[in-house]
Amino acid sequence: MSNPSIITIVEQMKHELAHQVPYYFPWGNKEFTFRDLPFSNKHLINEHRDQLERLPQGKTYESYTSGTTGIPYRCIRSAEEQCKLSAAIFRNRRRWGIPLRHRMLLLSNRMSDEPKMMEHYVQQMSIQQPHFIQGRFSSLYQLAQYMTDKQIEPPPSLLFIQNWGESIIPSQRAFVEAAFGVRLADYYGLEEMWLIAFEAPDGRFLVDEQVVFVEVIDPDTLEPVSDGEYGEIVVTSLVMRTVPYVRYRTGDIGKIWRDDQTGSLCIQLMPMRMSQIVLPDKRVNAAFFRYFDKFFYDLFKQQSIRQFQIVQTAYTSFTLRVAADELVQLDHLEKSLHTLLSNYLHVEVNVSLERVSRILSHSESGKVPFFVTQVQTEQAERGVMI
Amino acid sequence: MTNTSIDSIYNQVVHVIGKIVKKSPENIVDDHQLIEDLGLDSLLFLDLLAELEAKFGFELSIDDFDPEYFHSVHSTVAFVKDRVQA
Repeated sequence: MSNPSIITIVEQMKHELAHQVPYYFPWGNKEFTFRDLPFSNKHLINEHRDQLERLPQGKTYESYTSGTTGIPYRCIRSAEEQCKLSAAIFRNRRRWGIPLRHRMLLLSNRMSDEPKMMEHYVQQMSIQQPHFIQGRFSSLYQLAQYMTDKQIEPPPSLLFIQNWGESIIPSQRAFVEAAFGVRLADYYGLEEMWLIAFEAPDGRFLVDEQVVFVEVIDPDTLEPVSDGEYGEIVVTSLVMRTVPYVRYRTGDIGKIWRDDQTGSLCIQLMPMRMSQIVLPDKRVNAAFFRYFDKFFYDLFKQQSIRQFQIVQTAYTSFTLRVAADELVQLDHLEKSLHTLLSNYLHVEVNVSLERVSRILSHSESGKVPFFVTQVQTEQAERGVMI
Repeated sequence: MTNTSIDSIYNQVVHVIGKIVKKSPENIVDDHQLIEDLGLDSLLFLDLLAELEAKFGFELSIDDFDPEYFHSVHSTVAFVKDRVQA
């Protein structure tokens, strides 16, 4: 699965960690491989920050995230790290043809479909003549809808549009691309270490192995899964030293495989995370989530469904919220979800259907996740799957 | 390449760096690190590359967008000499 050069890099990196980062000192006198190092996550780093953080002398950049895990977290980067991370993102955008001195229009994470806000972005497109527009997929979709309704032409300068932070709904992708007149590039990254993968113009979603080393593990056994198998995405940053992200558990579910012809590492993500279903005294096997994949993609195919979201309201109660045309029959989706959850959770569940005009984005992240839980437990807050 | 043209590249690169980081070329030395010593940031990094492309007439490839190549004044000059000679 891994290419030899990146294995060499992480094997070298382990020695640096074991001799320079106090948290990893216990490995300093041992023979070990990179994969012997423990997994990490936000919780572990918060708890051992004094042994992991190495502040540089010069300028630093800070940002804060709680992300989808709800765990408050301070990200800190040196100027050199910031420069390397941003160069990596530029390198991937360059494949889409953007010049070194380029113009970007960034859509707000708190974008609403109010005409005033839509007008603002239409005006900005005209004034700025951006080379690309970046936003949550739901925001790009809203703007595309407005442009289509008002017959607004996209700026001729536009080379591509870029999603970040949300899953793309395949049935809406063509509509968005038609409205903007360019292709949509997907992006996968974390605030902690920025870029992980970027879609290439040929449609492959490629891991950037110059900045990250990606593993996929079975979250139950913590062992690597076979090529092309779904599991939890674990990432090691090859750039970050101020706070090292080593075998960092993302909670995201996906699979990776190496392209036979080019040797590039491809990735596919599922639109939900490991920690989202919370059950009392019960483990949820990772294999379970692949069945959600089919359910989600069945939903994605239905053009008349504008938005949807599964909400876990209690341990065994779920609501399927759907924004769709009034005439569309949705009962089969409710039944399908009920069967799916009951069969794979091995408990009787209640599933209800709620028709809504619109699903609002999360107030902090601005994301519209396809699955959210309202069940609060200590483990859930720590992002631990139970 | 003659010593004169090598010196000329060095001076021109230093001049470009000075213009980007807003420092007089006289105050820039060979072992200055662009980020730590001269205050180059991620936006200025792209500006620097654009200036170098324009000044020396080469086109950077995808793999060239690595700040490691432009770590110091010395490494930046070496990169430009390499591209100019290619």
